Amino acid sequence: MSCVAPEKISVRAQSRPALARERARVARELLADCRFCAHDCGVNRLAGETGLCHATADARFFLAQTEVSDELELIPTFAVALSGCDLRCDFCITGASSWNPRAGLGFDVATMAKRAEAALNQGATTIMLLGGEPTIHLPAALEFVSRLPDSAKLIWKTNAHGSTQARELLDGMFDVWLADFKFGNDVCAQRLAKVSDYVRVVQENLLWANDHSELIVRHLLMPGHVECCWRPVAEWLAENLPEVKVNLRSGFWPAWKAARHAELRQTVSDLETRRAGEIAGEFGLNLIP
Amino acid sequence: MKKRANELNTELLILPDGRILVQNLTQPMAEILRQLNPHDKQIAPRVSPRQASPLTHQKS
Ligand code: SF4
Repeated sequence: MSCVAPEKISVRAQSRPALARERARVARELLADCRFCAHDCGVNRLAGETGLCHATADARFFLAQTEVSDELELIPTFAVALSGCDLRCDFCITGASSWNPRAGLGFDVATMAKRAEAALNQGATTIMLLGGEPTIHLPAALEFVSRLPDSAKLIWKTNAHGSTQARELLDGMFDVWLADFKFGNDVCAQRLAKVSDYVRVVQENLLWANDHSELIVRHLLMPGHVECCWRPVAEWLAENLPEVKVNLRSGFWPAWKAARHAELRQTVSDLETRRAGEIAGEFGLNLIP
Repeated sequence: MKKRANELNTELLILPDGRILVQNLTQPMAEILRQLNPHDKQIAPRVSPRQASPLTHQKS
């Protein structure tokens, strides 16, 4: 007898826009004691205090356009990138805007929602909210969702370093979580992104996202990190999320402050790309383009 | 250079071996890249999405 896995069912008593409006209000109040990400700062962003992300209560964005560079099943996507991030990846390709929450322009949710709807009418199939890291701007992100059509396919592009509180606020808001699993161990995470306890937090977020929405996991191959980072990521995914869609990206670009680390001053070699593919095959991962 | 809110932005990195890495690829730029190299199998599905395999690129 064959058994078909049940579809993930999201039951909402209210429409998504209505629920998002309520959640946005709660999220804005929670800025008074910000614990949106695993840094758990507890600062009062409404009073002008800032935590490790340096973000205030106001969100800004540095990019909003229809793009075709993401996973094929998600494109064309209208991508909105919010300024600021809670991680400090030295190799971040958008480092200048991701490390600076004051970069870009003020994020006016009504105007941006109109642009997103126009993009959908012109052929975009999804709307993607990213950063930096959108989790640090949860109130604005939820306000944005509250202005979007209930039927729109929404993508939450995240570093998977959010807190339990953030996940509760996000539950049912986005159709797809597109989540990074960047480092396979805490030593590399600390050295390259100045974050502690990385692996446990990301794994917790991925397991949750897989239970509450569709999940796509991304791993950006880094030169010199195939065995220490990709292999343990691949192994964990095979053991814990064996069916999950995985996008293995080989186009590492030595950007921003990557030169601080000798191994990151180059692109990924053909040999490393091949080896990474072999590891994916070894663990039977469900790779997607 | 200052960027405007409605401007389209794509960044390219051309490697010594001729490979091109792309960040924030838009459809107009995908079309240009296809015209530069019509035989590149990775760019085609980006010009007309939902047809084939990925372009090498990074967005962390
Ligand atoms: S979002 Fe994270 S890093 Fe920023 S203040 Fe809140 S807990 Fe701290």
